[in-house]
Amino acid sequence: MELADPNTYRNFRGSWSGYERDCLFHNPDGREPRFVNTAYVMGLDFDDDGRSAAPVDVDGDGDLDLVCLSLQSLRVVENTSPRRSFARIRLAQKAGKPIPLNALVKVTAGGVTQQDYVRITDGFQTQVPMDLHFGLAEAKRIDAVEIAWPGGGGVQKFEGLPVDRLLVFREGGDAPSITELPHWPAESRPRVAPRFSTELTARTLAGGEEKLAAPGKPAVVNFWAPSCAPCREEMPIIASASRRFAGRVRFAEVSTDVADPAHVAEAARSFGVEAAQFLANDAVVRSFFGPEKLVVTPSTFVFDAQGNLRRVFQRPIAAGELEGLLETLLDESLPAGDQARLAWRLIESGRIEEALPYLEKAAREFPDDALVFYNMGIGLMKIGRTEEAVAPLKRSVKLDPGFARSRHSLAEALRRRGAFAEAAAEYEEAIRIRGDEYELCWGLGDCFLRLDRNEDALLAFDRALAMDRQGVAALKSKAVVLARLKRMAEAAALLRRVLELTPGDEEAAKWLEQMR
Amino acid sequence: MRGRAAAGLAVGGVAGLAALAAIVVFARRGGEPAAEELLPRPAEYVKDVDQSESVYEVANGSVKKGFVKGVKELDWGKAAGGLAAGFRGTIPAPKSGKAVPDGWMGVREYGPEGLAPLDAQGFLGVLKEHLADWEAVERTTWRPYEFLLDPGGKTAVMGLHFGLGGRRAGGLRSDIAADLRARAVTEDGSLWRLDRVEWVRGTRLDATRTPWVDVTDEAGLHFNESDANRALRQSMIEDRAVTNSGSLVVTDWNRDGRPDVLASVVGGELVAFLNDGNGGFTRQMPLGLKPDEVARTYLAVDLDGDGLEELVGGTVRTDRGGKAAIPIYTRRGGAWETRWIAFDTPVGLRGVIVQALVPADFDRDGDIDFCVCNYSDADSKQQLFNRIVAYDGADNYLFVNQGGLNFTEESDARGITGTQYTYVAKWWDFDFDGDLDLFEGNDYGPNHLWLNDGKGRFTDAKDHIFDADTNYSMGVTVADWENDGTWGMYISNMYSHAGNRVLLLSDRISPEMRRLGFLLAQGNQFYERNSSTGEWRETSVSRMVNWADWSWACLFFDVENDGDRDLFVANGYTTSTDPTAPDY
Repeated sequence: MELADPNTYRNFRGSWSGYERDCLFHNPDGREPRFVNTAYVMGLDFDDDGRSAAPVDVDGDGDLDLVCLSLQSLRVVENTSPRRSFARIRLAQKAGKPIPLNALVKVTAGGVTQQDYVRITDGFQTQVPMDLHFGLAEAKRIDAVEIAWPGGGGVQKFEGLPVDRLLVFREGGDAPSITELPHWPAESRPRVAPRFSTELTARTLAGGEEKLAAPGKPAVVNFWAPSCAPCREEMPIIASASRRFAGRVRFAEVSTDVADPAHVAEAARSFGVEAAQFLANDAVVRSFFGPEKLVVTPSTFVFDAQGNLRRVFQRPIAAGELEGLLETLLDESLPAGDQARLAWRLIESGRIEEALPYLEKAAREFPDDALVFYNMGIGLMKIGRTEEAVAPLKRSVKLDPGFARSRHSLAEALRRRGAFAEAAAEYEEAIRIRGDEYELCWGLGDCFLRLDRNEDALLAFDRALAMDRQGVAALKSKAVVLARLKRMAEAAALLRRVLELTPGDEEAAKWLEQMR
Repeated sequence: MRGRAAAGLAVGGVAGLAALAAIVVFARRGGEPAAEELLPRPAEYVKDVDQSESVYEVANGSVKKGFVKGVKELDWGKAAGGLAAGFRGTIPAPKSGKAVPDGWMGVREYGPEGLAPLDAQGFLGVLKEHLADWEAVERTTWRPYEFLLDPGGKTAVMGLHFGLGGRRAGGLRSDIAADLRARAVTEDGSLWRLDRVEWVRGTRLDATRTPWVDVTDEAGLHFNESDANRALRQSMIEDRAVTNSGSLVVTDWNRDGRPDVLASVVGGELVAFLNDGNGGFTRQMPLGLKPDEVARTYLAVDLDGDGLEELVGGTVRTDRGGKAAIPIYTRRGGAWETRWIAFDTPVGLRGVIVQALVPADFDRDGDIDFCVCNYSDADSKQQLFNRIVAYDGADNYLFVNQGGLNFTEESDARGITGTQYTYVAKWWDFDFDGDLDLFEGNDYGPNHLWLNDGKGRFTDAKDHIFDADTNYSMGVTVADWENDGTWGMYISNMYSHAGNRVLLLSDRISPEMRRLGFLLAQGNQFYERNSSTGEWRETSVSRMVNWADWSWACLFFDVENDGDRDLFVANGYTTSTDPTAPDY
């Protein structure tokens, strides 16, 4: 393997430690103290390009779940381990004192003493919850909690505390406050993740068979029944959202009560929901609730425009909840800053036409961002729409007068459309900012050449050639100026030099022939 | 601000980040020799890296297409076809070895003791016994960390990580992981078969449940997931235009008693996902930041003692005149207000990349200070790609709280100096003298332990084991993981099977490079403190936590509430969408 080329990595396209799977080194009970990687068997061996992660009890069920931010995505992974005892300990600051970072906490229960310390950063680029979590196995009671407070707060010891509670200790306090963890209601937990096939069909209340999904739009699929009281309570919220997002979001109401379609239709009408009305069938129920067909009503499944599941409510939706979610789905296609980035990457890879809509959106979003307008300008130039490129480039220069690349591109666009005097002024300004560069000096010289400012052109081409002695364009242009100034021998010498450098240059050969 | 060191340590004739990635780590192999040593290390082997690695590509690829693929597909005929005539191998039977008590998972360990060499039929027979109730093999690992090619080019001895993961009836998962030694042979130079396999040590796991369930979709915790966004992210990943893109903050952002999640992408957006207490999260844009205002990392912490968190942005705004500032967002009357904390920098400083913000009251004056870990600035690019040790990163900052959200930058004044590529820091009382010391974890060079004198001034503990030579450290976590009163510190680094093979062979590597390579060999590090002597020692290999690939996040926490702490490590650098594309 030859590794001598330091640029190898730049040209390499492929994976670099790709598809590596996260590790969970389990600490088995009673094992000679070595860990064993259990990530696969425990369901935690994701192959994202992992970066940040935080253990946090998101659902308040007493075990630590995991939130992971990788290069690819944000995940929340629920821990469904069998219930065992735990202690959740929060240390509260005394008035006027800072949060008790690095306080040391010891918990004794079931004959075991554990210790941990308070922190809010851990691992890699992650802020973790300040609460400490202690698994207590089968212990029924906490024998003791000992806290060494930072900043001279001394050591406090508390005895005889309950397990499975949030214990909040305040420095100097006599006893902790003891509360249940705020937990997600059991009925809020979806039992299965549905697969939403765009081919899935169901009978409509009107009698025909239709597809549930409408490709290209976000979709809300709501399972309900006229006889279900929570469904009826929820329905005005769904109806309101369906009217607000009419035409932009597909709403599908699926009644699990299929015996009396007329009754269902009447109930649906009474709520004024702007939705396609369906009757559930076996395939639909299986798809959304799994093979056991454990239907929960109401249940609402929200999909994005690509058909990806984005949220499940297996409970009545609260006011505003659905509309807030739909707003983000419609808005989030690509954050404005990323639109500009994506556009630039598309321009780099020659996909200019695809880039322009993103740039236009970014320009609307960021009317003060010089880079957005610069990208738009050079994108338009690359596809030959030079006339249209001038305005965004001028905007870019106006927004950031010191942005030399933008000035250069503007000068180039102006030169191409024949506005040589204006172009020359931009070239001169770009040179003032960035110093002599071949392209800039040649462009300036070319403008002078076309304005018949031959002496100025000659000077500009000489500056270009000082940057690149083999610059063919500058050599040829200088030859033209010299010929105009009747300095034929010098001009011919330059053209011969051009032909040495590029023997196939027909233009140079022709000019040389004419000079003879 | 201390000046930059003149130069880093050159990598001799082997240059480039590619080389660094390859030479990162040399795996240690533990375990006792097998009862009957089938595969003694050959006295002579090819030491030309190019020659050995080019044969390796063919030989290992051939073995994977034959034996390994056969096992993966439960196609025992194909697997048998990957074994050479005269094959002999050792493998423990499923019921042999030692059962390890565990609350809810079958764990069985197998050493090499008592294993008799088997012929191909016997060897595959035992392997089949292991997989008898498996419905499918979902994971295979065959990753050699050693490849010793006979000068004749017809045989090669490998040391490797082997693994199989699959579903048993009912969807329960099992996993077999082992260190193996193996010998591959060829007649024509293209088709290689195994003629020896020696079991060094391994483990079998039989889970009684799969407790981790991805509920991102159901809970609505979506971030940058539209098709356009995914396409953009992936294109940036494949071009390695992004190495770490943002940070994760878990805190009770809206103060309703439930943990919320903030996620950011630098130059993109900062999103708050508010825990609705009812099965999911609601998305919000908390500060209305423009993309170019979004930092790489954030810290939510109460800095003024009013009981409300401030949000510190990990971004350094510089001008060319020697002034810089970082933003602190604070809540005033129900709205957010931005304060810029100004400080002096060298004239011309720009492009500072902040990786971490780490808070502590290190000077014990009753308010929270914080350390800013900086990776590089615009002038840092020169040493990085050609050296294993680089000192042209960026200066770290120490912001000392003066009250009223006023801070002074006092890193140099308090003794914290240097310009390395810092990824992470940890405040902790590492010398148990009652004050907080600072561990600084660096890419491309030694880590540092800055010892606090009790008055908030620091000295570099140069002789401490934490400062020992080169690391590529990304993350750090500290825990008393087995409840014996002994603290352990785990550091995420990098592991490379390729680097392992190359380092062993190459005679073009300078002695100093080889020494550093071997220091890096252990991948991730685990330091444990002997509570009686106060000494720290490195135990990652004996604890079997050194190999976790290219690691980032590392966290100790108790997964199953059984009263001890497990260790999670997130890994992977950049993954191409094309799984057949080459990989370093």
